[in-house]
Amino acid sequence: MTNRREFLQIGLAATALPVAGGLFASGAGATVAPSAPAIPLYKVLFDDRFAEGKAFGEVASSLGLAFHAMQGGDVTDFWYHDLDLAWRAEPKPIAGFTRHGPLFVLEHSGWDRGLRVVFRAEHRSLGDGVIEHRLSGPAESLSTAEALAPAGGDWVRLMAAMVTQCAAGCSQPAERTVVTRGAASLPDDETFYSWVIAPKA
Amino acid sequence: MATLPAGVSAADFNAAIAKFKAAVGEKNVFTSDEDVALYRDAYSPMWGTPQELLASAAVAPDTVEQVQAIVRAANEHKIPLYPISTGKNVGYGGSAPNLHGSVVLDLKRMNRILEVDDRRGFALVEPGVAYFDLYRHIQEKKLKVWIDCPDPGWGSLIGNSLDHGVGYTFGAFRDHFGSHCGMEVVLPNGEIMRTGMGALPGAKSWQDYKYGFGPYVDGLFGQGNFGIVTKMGFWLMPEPEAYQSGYVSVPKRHDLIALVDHVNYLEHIGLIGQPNYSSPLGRAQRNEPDLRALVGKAGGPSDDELDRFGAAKGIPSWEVELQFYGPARTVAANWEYARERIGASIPGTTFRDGHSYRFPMTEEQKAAVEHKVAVGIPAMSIFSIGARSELNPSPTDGHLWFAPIIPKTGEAVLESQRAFAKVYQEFGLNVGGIFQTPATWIYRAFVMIVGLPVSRSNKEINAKSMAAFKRVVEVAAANGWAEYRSPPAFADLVADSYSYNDHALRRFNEQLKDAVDPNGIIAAGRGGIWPKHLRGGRKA
Repeated sequence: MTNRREFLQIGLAATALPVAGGLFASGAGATVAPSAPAIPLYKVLFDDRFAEGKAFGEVASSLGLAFHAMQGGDVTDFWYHDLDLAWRAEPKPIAGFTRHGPLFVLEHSGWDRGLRVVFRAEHRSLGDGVIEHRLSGPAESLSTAEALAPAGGDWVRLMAAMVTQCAAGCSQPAERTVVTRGAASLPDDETFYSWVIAPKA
Repeated sequence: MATLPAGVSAADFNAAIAKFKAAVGEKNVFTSDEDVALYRDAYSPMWGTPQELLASAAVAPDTVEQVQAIVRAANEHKIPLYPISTGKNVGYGGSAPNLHGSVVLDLKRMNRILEVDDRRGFALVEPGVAYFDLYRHIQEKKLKVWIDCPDPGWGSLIGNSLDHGVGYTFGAFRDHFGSHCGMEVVLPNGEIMRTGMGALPGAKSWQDYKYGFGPYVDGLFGQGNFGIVTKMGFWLMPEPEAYQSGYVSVPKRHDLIALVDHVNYLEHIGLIGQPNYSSPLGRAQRNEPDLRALVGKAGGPSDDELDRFGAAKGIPSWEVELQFYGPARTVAANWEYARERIGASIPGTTFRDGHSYRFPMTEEQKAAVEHKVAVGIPAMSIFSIGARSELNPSPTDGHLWFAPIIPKTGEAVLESQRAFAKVYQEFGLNVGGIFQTPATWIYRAFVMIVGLPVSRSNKEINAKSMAAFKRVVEVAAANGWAEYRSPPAFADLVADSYSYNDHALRRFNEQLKDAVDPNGIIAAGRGGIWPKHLRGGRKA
């Protein structure tokens, strides 16, 4: 079973971030480790028009996960040539970093196959590199949310690690809000989403 | 327990639910709050308010026999049903009912493609078949027909057609209800009826000839509530050899009148598919502060002022994209003819070539097509247009479509621009305006559609959009225009504007409703038609 430190190091290793002393050891607040296995993802989708999207995809790739870079933010190609066929055979979990539109499409399409959004993080750029993150998902997965704040502009890599290691079978949904400050390429006053869609518990 | 339908006892509701479970299996009846919430209208302007229209439960049959069993149980216990196909009609209500507390009859499991004939050019499908599904079937079987699909392509052919939905290729196919041929309907008493030639036992031309013999009743099931359509035929366009688009620009505001007349001629004689109008001058506002100032001045600019600005900057007032389909030689000849015809008539007209494609296309070629639906390829790209802007202040929360029909003339466009712009300005909404061009999906009319913003977090936006919606419906009606399609929240308002001779049409529909569906179990309120016992609650 992965403990909290190992879990965060997955993101770290993938990001090549310097291991800032205390960043993960500071342990602000609760230190609940993910106690459930991670949801096995069929594929990770990301919007590669933004540096944050590319970074999200890099983490997925470095974790050995299959991924798909959306062209121009359009989910059509992924849906028609890949996911619809995969879900016809078996409704499999997916994760992503997108704008609202693709998430809306995949969430609603997932409902028809017995899938639900089990983890959702809204990332809203407030300008000057300030991003507000509103997370909802399994309590165990959110237990590491406090590590986002000191990650500054590299929050997306930790978010990718968090999403791709989202706890399976957790029945305690929770919510957290975290603010990060650092370099960001997301358009101001826009909301992006990290998410996991998985079979209904 | 979810909200019960008005006037239905818990005992009756529970008895009906038990019968639904017996008909379709327990796992296909949904009563938990979490499951029923999936049928909410994602774009509802009343989201989270006591006025939001919610389902009480949902039941998902797989066969027409199961639909019959559900209808019989609903009749027995007076349970209002709200049939949906795939429930993707976002902007027009999604899968939420007109009557609060209705049980959604979810037909998406009935998703069989029963027949596709590329020699006679038709498909026969069930309600759960989405445009993507039929497209995939056609591609896999290498059939030589196209679909005509809306944007986006995840919806049901039957659902879109029954809501008078529209597409993007040739006029006859863009009208999705008009291009249907033959229906199978479960009537409110549970009987199965087939329309047109389908009424003939052993018919061999159900999808070839619409009318059969006697009155043509199919129209009752479009935006209506007289039965549940369980099969429907659609005519399909033959795959053409080639596609060519070309752009025509005209300099002055009033050139639009002659331009529309020419384009109408080209379309109605069968030379072009959907024409797409736009305004280069309108687009220029982004980079031209002087133009923005001119447009924003008190009372607005005159047409002469706009023409002078356009002439000084070399920016045309209007542009139209013409789309030609057919053999490569005739496509080229038709574009040449269009240039000659329009160029000889409107001084200062300019032309440029657009896209050119040959069919069939490879997957790489398809991927490169900018406007895929114009060549019969379903897409979801409309959901990638979500950036926040003045025009779209809450892009994640949806919109209400206001879609009034106006005559297919340049005069009507110019008149309606100014009439609607006044209302939008009055409400501080940055939609429409004097550069708005018509949507051209409908073959013989224009639609001056706008999306009024909806917000989950800002109820003031919703209140403003709803008030503006009510006002533009009134302004439209005063000018002889009206909506062709409406979200459930405004169905009564829109239906009320069709009031000729003291609402003779509505009274006729109500007489039919009372005769065909005396218990009022099918889609109460759809199309503004309420069963007798609910007419007192009409919202207009």
